[in-house]
Amino acid sequence: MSLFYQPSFWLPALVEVPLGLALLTQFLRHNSWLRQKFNLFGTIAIVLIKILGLISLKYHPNAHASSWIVGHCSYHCDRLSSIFICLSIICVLLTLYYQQNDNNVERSGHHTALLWWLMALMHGFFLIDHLLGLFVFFEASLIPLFYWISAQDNQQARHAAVKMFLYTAAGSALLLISLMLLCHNLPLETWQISRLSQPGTLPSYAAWIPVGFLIAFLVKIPLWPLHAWLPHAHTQAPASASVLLAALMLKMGGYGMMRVVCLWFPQSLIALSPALYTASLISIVLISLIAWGQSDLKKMVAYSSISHMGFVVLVLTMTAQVGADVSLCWEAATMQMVSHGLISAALFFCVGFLYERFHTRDLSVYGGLGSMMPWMTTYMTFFLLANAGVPGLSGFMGELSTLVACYPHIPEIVVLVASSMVLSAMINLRILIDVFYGPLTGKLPVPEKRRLVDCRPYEHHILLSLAAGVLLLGLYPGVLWDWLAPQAHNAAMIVAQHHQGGV
Amino acid sequence: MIALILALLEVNTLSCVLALLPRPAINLRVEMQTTALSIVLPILAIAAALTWPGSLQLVALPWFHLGELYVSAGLAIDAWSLTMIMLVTIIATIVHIYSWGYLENDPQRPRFFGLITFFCWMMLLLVLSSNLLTLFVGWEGVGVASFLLIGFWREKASARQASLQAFLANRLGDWAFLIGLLIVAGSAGSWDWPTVVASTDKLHWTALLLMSFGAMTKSAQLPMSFWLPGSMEGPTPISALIHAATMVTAGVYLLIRFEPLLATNPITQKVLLFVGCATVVFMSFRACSHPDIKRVIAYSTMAQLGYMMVAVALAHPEMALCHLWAHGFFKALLFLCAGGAIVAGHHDQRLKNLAGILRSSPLLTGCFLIGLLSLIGCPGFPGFYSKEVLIAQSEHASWPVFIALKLGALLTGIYSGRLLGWLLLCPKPINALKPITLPASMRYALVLLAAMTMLLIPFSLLKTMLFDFPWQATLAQVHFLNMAQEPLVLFVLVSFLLSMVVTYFRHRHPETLEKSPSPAALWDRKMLTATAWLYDSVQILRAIVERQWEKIIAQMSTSPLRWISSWVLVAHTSSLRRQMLMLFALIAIGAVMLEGGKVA
Repeated sequence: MSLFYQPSFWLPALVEVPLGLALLTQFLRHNSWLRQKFNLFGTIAIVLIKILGLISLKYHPNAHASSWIVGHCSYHCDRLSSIFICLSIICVLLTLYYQQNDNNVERSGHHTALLWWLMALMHGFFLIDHLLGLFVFFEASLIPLFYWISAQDNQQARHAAVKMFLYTAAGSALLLISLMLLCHNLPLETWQISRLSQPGTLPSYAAWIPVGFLIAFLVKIPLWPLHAWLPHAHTQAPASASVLLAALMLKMGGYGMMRVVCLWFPQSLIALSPALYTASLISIVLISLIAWGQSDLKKMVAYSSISHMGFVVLVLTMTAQVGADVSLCWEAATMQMVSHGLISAALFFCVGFLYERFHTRDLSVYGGLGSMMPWMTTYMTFFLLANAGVPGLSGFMGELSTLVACYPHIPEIVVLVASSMVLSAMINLRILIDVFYGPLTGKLPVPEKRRLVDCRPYEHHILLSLAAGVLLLGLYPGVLWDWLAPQAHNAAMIVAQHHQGGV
Repeated sequence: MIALILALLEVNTLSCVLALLPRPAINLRVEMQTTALSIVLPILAIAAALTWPGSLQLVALPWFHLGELYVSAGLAIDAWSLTMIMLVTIIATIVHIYSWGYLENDPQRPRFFGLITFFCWMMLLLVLSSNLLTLFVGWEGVGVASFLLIGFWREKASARQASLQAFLANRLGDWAFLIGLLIVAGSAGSWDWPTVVASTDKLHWTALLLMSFGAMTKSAQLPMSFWLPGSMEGPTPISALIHAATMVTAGVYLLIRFEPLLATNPITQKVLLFVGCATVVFMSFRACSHPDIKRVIAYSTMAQLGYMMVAVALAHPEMALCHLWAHGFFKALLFLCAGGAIVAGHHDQRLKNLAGILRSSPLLTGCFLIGLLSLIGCPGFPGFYSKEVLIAQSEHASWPVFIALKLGALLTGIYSGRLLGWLLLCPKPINALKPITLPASMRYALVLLAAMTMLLIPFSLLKTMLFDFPWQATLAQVHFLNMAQEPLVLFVLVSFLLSMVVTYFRHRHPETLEKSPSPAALWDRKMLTATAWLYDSVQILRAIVERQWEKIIAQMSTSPLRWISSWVLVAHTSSLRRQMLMLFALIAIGAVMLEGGKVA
């Protein structure tokens, strides 16, 4: 049994089991019976492996292992990446569950395989310990989603997919150039992220190289003014793709920023901080206002998720500030990202459920669903309030910790950022009121033949599990913060050493 | 005693969880569960008060920490919080019983009861918490409950708008509150009550000012008062529970807690004093002319909350709490009576359509009279004891405040008389001649609450025997016999009667009825205009972002027109003379208060 606790077992398995499943389901996409068996097996296996990994990490904070397939490619897992792996497993498995049960959405083997591909690539990104590998996974994770969005028979969808691809590929190109220029003097084996994170190991670099890294990740997050791809991608993507896009893909930017930019280039981050503070302030305030003015349900949620990710950039920029509480900043950023992952996943699921019933996302058409769909109303109310940052739910914890971390250093900006209290309430309550309150508009295509069903069992399961997560993190944020604390402390040490070296 | 409080919270949690899940249509079980459990609550609360050892009891568990800042979750049990939990649980129980009849045929009843228990839960958390952050959880929670309950009838457009307006206004206050919290975290290093209250020298004065702004919003004081009249669109039991007795008093409660800090912060004290006085005067004026029965009572609530603010600002938290306690009962009673009248008048809230409606129901008349006499401070009724001390106290402090409070008291008499004149003296419209039969549960609730209001003072005065709360001492200062030396009470009573008669005669000559809205109404409308303006700007912004030029041009051409027309509308429907008068009054009061008046 002790063999299974070895990182050499579970760590590569986290990436390569989904990879194998992706290949298998891809080849067996016509055999639905086998595919379902594989999905079941994969779900159980990945959850078990993850649990083993968490137990192992509890005793040994860092795990290293080399890949089973490519021998000299090694993985590295610590408490931060394990949190994101958890988020990714939760979201992908829920999406898989949704796909298996939903009658209307494409249930072909392609889409099942895409999910496993996405999980494998995502885990690869969060776990790989090689700079080039980081780039490869960063770039490759785009492909399943690009395929997913553009596969629809729709000119606009293809347009949105290309837009998304161009934006993020431009960012990835910058990433590639920057990392090449940064490391071209080092032998390829030493491009390990964990090694380069130690202060003093980084080779000398030109001043603009950190900017390259930063922009690559900011496009992914996305921060104003690099955000234009996201709302379009969301409006054209099917529900499950939207869930994965919001809950996982955006987190890659935040994770990359924590891992690379914050730990390697704090000095450059200080130099860039005025611009970054301004941009995240605009992201939070202006984008919220734009979200309020939308008439498309999904666009509203998409814009509000940009504004939530602005908090992450704000607090991560704060890590470089001399005298800032770096470990608190790390905890705040992680909490904000995880909570946004859960809440936005739930909201996009809800929007998907509504779309599936009524085939529209136009807010002016909706109205009066409250009495017809009491369960859906309850769930939506819960998640919209969580999104609006009501205390006791996870969204508030992310925002509160961000504000507490930033207030001593940039009080003026924090005062303005805190206006999201009002702005996010405006957005979320507008959705709630426009969709569920009021009389039926009459424009809503309510199905005549069969009765309008409130939540189906699988919808209950998905939303309840996400609600449990939101409530847990809101009431016991220590679950996440205590787990992350040693590593956040470690990050603080590294940044402090940078500051000493710089001075 | 702590076990009792914990049991109280657990029972409430249980009933909330049981009731909040969606149910198909009318489901008697949910209502019986929540009502049965809600009857247990006041018993537990009173038992806890009886067994209270007489000093501050703190129970705190570590919750989480943000860097250096350790946050605990816990209970602070003292005279203040015990008084509040008794008030909350008693009124909530009565409202539970009342709602059985009030919402007799409403298919959404289970949700209503679930939300009331949720509200109680959050309110108990607010008043019992030993930590500013847990208080904030309850603070926002009652806001959410209020939003959901004002908009309980989702089909009603005005209710939807009002609920949104109420929540956004409260969020605006919470913005200030949150920044106050951040300042406290930075300077005091903790959010625990004892630490915060003890850190007078370390705390920056803006923290308290910002939190007071939050409290002013919650308690609907000027200039953040515009949301409360709108909230009257909700069901009447909710107005009684949330918008009269409990939630709106949370702001006053917070300031009562902050009293040690306020004493060292003269700026905040002066702001509160000014805001309190301005609210008392303006809202009382507004109540004198409003055509809607519930809104008249709502304006009166704001004015009474203004009295409490003044008490806190004069460093007399015990008087504020005493008035809060008495006001909670008689204002809830007034609202429940108004609810009865509204049910009888087929859910019409306009006074002219409710004329003479009390004539056919002696029960309603009696209860309404008890409520009104308490409100105007008639000797023998609870309002007299709680308000009289306060006005007398303000005489020592500063004469403009004293005048404002006296004027407020006089106006209270006038609008109360007007209410009674409309509802009792005026003849009934022809279409409403049949006698009123209220559902049994509404009658029981009314009798129960009226009896409790009347027994309030004897009950509260049993101080050495039962409780030993600081605010009870204020009651003992007032003696019935002092009345002769205090001409104010006579004036108020005379104005009450005169106003009744005047209303009767004006009713007979409808051309003398007032038409122009008062400045308070204008303020509400201005807020609406501002919201419209904001919305338009966002539309333009969005059009620019999406590069839709024709839309931009369209917006640019129509929006300013709309803004101008709305301003013109505001200017035309108001009497300029009255506006100017109010403005001068405001400036004069402010100038006198800042220059001449001395804060004790």
